[in-house]
Amino acid sequence: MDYDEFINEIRTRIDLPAEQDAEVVVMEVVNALAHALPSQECAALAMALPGPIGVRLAASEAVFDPYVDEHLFIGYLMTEHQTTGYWDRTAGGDDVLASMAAEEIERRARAVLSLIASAIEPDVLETVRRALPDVIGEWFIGEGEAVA
Amino acid sequence: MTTETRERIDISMFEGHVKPTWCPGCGDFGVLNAVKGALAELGIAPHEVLIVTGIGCGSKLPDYMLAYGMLTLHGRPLPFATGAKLANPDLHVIVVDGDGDAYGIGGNHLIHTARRNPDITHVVENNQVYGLTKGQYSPTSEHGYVSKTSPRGSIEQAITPTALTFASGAGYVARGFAGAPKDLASLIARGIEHPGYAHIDVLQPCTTFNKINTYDWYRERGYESDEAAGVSDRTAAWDRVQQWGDQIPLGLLYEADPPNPTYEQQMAALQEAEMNPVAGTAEHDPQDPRYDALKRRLFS
Amino acid sequence: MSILIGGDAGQGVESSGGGFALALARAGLGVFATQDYRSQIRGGHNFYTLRIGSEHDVRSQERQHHLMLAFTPETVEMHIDALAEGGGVIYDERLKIDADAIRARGFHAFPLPLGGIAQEAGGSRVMINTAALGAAAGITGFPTTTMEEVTRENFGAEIAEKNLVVMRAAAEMTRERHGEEFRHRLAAVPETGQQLLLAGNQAFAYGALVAGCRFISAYPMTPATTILEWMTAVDPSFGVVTKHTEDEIAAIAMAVGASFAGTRAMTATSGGGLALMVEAIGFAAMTEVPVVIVDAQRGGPSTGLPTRSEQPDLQFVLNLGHGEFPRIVLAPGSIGQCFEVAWRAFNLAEQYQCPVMVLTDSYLASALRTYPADYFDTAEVVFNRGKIVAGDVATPSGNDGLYQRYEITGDGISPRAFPGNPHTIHSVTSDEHTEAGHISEDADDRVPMMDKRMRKLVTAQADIQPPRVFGPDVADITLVCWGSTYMICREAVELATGRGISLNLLQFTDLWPFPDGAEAALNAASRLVLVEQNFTGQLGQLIRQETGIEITERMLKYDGRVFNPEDIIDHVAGATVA
Repeated sequence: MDYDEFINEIRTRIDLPAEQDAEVVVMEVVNALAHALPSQECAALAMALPGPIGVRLAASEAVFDPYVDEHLFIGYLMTEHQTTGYWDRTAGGDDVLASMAAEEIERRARAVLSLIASAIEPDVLETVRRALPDVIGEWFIGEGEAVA
Repeated sequence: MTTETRERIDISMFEGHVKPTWCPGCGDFGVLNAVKGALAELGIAPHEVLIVTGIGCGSKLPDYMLAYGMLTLHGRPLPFATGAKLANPDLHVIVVDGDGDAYGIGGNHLIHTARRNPDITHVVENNQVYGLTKGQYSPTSEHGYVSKTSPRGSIEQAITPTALTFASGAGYVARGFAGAPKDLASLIARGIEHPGYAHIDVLQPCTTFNKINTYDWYRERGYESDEAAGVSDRTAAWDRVQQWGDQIPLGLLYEADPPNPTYEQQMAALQEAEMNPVAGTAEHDPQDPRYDALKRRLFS
Repeated sequence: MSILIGGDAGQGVESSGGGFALALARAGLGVFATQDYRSQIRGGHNFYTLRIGSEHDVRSQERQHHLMLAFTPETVEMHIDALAEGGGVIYDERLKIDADAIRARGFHAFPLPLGGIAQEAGGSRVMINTAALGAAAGITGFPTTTMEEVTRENFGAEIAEKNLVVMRAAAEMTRERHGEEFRHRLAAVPETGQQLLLAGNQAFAYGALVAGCRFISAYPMTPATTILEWMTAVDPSFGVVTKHTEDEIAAIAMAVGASFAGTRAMTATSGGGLALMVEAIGFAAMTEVPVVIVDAQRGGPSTGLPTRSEQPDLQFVLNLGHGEFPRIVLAPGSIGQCFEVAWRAFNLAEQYQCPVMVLTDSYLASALRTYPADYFDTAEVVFNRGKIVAGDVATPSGNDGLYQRYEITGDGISPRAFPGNPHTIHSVTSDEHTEAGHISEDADDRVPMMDKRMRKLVTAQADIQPPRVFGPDVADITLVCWGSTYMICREAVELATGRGISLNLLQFTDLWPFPDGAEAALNAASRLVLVEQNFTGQLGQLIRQETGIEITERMLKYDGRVFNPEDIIDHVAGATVA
């Protein structure tokens, strides 16, 4: 799969308006992986990913941190994610967007990670999944598990 | 830079029973893991720890982990913690609260706890906003920060908390980043080991309300402060603790060497008595003849 | 007899008075001493009164005095009307005081070269106080032995000796000039044996120590400060941690933190400081952490009358704090009762795991009184910590073998465990919570938890003391009082007996929970007179709220000065109207 196919597929899966939005999501997942993966697994994954994505991962200055769990992982995805603008007092944070963010962000992470899973060799995938916290490892598995 | 380690230290012993209600990606998750990691690294058991918090999202931390906890009042965890520590100095006391709690309403206690120097570790979740109350600006929000209570941009200057505690006499001043919880765990662990008040200001994103100071924003500006440049040199430290802006120093910014004596070490009632107050009350016997002798000596 | 020492602030009225009181006590006389001073370091009139009897139980000051030591002409102007028949005034002859005017009223005037004696014999006019005390000894025939002893203890060797020279010279001169002219005499009573001389604050602090209190944090505030100071002066081997905090909020917070850790802890303040503590008191009640808080009342509101005594905080203490939570309110009425209330307060706080507030006041806090040496007997002190989980017992209760700090129980009290115990790890929170202590908003958690907390007060009722009657069981008039007005009312009852007036009193020491038996006791009385030092008659309001009984006859004093027993007698004998 090449870069443009990858991006378009993400755009479709997550249902985003523009290509740019999909790029942002993918790059934030890359950011998160750079923190969550030890350098050896990181390098292996970078080589297996489509062009710019792999480069981004390889060039990241992030340092592996063993305390990064699934919660911090999605922190990067929250950066560009809109979380305010739809006020409703019954929603946590007074905002429907914020309260829906958890589900939405996980869905996006799963979408990207499962696409990555399908784009790389099984042995690389296995190495990567084993080096990650269990919950994140699960997100590589097919979209069927994504929360509706 | 930390050397890479594949090992994930087992922090499951601190696993709590309640699921956090923090927003996805909240920096508090990093603080939570770092606190657990620091305790695990030091081999401290859950029942030996007392975590005292204020009010705010991050102040719910004790509810989410296994340890003794006191979720107190807005701005007030430091004196509650000090009271507990003086009553039982054997407890490891950690205070965790947010920037509004510690640097705003709790500012007075911050200054006096730093100068008093009880052996307490203070972790401040500094996300430069008031999260729980939905996004108002805080004492560390920068000038111009737009929020619900500063719709045209904040017209107040931000304080630099590390400078404040340093100037108040703190003997351990550090800054961590919630996105780098391993380093943060080290800073907390060293703070616990440091005899006296240890201040760890933690940069952390509020992923819901603060879209300015995000993980990337902090990543771009934070740099590892070089300890070799004299972590105990007060003059050099003064520059480090004040620095903010495009370059934000992370790591141990200052540690007094030798450490300043702690409040407990200087307190005659704790040093010269056989028992600390908790044991003293537990073992108390009102009919001990010493009381009668004291009465006759002091009142006649 | 009573002696009044008056002068400007900074002239040493209080130190003279205090020293004299101790000397009298050591000579075996009964003493009751009060001070009246301003919130200033220099200037402004203040005075010290000493009421002296041959027995230890001198229960209050009296309205009149017999001997006045005047350091300023203002003293004479202010207090001459209260001089008793045959009374006298001692003063330095250089002061502009009209001896003839004094004598014209049938009193003695004793102008003496006090300053001169001080200068000549002691080398400093500062010792004029000592000269005055020496003169007082001379005029009453009181031997200077114990006064000299006290002087030696209070001053460095060289200054002490000079003071003694001054004292003896003044006493000698006074004896020479006036002999037995002054008919009120003071003699030592050696049979008395050792006596104690102490004030309410000290009695309370001692009671706290004997109760096992090992932690006091406080912010200095008149008139509570001396409690902290006394505890700080106790020998470090007792292990009492005392902390002068940065503010009152820190004071209450530290005490609650210490109590959570497992020690008995307290704080002491006055109304203005208590106002800052309100939030944290609610926290203690919500988290069911015991704490004892002393409010030594003074004239309010706001800064009010910092050095003057009133009882204006009862309704405040009964109602303070947002929301609804259990509390216990006690009010000792005498110095002796301060000791008893202290150890009761700590027991109640731990048994019922709630804030216990103790109301005293400026007068009670600093009035000095003699007691026999075996008073404040520790043999009568009970030490009861309520339900506490022992450190070595494995998890006692709850779901999945987990310790439930707020276990719902029949009496509302849940066993309490301290940090450090491996079997009872838990958190306490200011939010509403589950039995385990986790934050909860569920109605199914909220209602039982509120019920449980409030149920503790129902259980506590058994430990609440009913109001006490003093004097004849049945009387025409019953004074209703609380706090330090008890001392004055008690003295009034004694005076009444002597004058054939049928008077008794009903004293409330326990205000909340409202005591059982109060209604019956009030209804049994024929004529009730409420005696309080506040504007609104706050105990009267509480009584009406709880019993429907309205006391219409009220003696209310809110000028920052205490009642005298004679004021009560005047009222009940019909001489003055409320």
